[in-house]
Amino acid sequence: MTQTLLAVDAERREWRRVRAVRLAGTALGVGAAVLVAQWGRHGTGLMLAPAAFGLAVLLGTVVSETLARPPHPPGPRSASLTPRRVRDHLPSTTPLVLALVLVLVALLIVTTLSASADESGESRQLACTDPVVTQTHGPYAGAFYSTPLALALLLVLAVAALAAREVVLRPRGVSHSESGADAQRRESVGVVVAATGIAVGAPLVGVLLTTASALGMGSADPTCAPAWWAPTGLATGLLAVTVACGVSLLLGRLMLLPGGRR
Amino acid sequence: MNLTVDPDDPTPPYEQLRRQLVRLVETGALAPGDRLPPLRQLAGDLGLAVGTVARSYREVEAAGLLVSRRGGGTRVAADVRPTPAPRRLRALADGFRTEARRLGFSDAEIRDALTAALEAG
Repeated sequence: MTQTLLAVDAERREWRRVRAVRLAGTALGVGAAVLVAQWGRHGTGLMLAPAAFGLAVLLGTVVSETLARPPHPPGPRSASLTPRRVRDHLPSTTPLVLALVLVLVALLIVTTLSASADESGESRQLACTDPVVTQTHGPYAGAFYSTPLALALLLVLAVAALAAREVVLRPRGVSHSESGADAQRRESVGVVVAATGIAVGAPLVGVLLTTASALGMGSADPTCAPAWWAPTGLATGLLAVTVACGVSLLLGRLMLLPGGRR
Repeated sequence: MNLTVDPDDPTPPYEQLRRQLVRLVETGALAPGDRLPPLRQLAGDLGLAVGTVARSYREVEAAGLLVSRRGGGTRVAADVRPTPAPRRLRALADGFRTEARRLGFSDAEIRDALTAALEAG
């Protein structure tokens, strides 16, 4: 009985340590995002800041789940013969994050293909040409924005996949039961998914808003803009609000940790 | 279903694992086609080197009880059938006899030791 209580106490201490290290990673992520936001031209730093935040949270999660764990206690050790898979530990927010990734990829393809170069040759404007004059509206997610964002997205997804794998494969630690260890793993995979969602969703809101703005401004001149620009701009703006709600939900999941269900 | 390794046991850890895996397959606790955990998972959980677990898997695989595929993990071989209980008992007895003879005991001493063990239990 006393041994069980000691084991439960050790598990709680371990869990607190994991959360503390993860929280430090989140704080580091805020600092990294502030630094990155000040970097670059024409708002590219601001666009990449959520990716920097997400990467720091992901790294903090990996460190908390692997390096910050105490060594195996002495004595016989046992291990379950059930293979642990990442998909068995994914939270209910996973479809939302997958949807954000798909929407961002599709949107970046469309905006990259439809963007025009500005006077310095950088593809970051939406242009419409009427018989008299060519109007340009921006910022718009042409290659100038979409290339670094796509690279950041690839990096975030790769690190998230590695982080989730590390979390799921890490040993049981001092948890007195496999189910207790699995609850910790689920929580950390939940953080990985939430951080990925924020790293993808926040720039997506920005791209949606700038796209909606460019389409809206362009549609003010009906002789230049096609008729579909106005409703598409409105729909894109509404989608931006919806995505912002989703990102807020993920931010809540990331911050409301102790005992909270992911 | 768990595997256990005792670091204080003089039997090497890979052999402890091998024996347990063979027993689980032979008793039918692990059915044909059942997937085993990745080497890294099992090694991490048991606090062993990946190579130690890999050696256990390799030896059980060499006995035809497991099948490993690149990228497909390690599974219990499809054609494995649980060993009938009397044959398992006979195999245990054979192992005991062989080990005891190797240590230099006579058949009479082995018989006495087994009888004493049965009476004690």
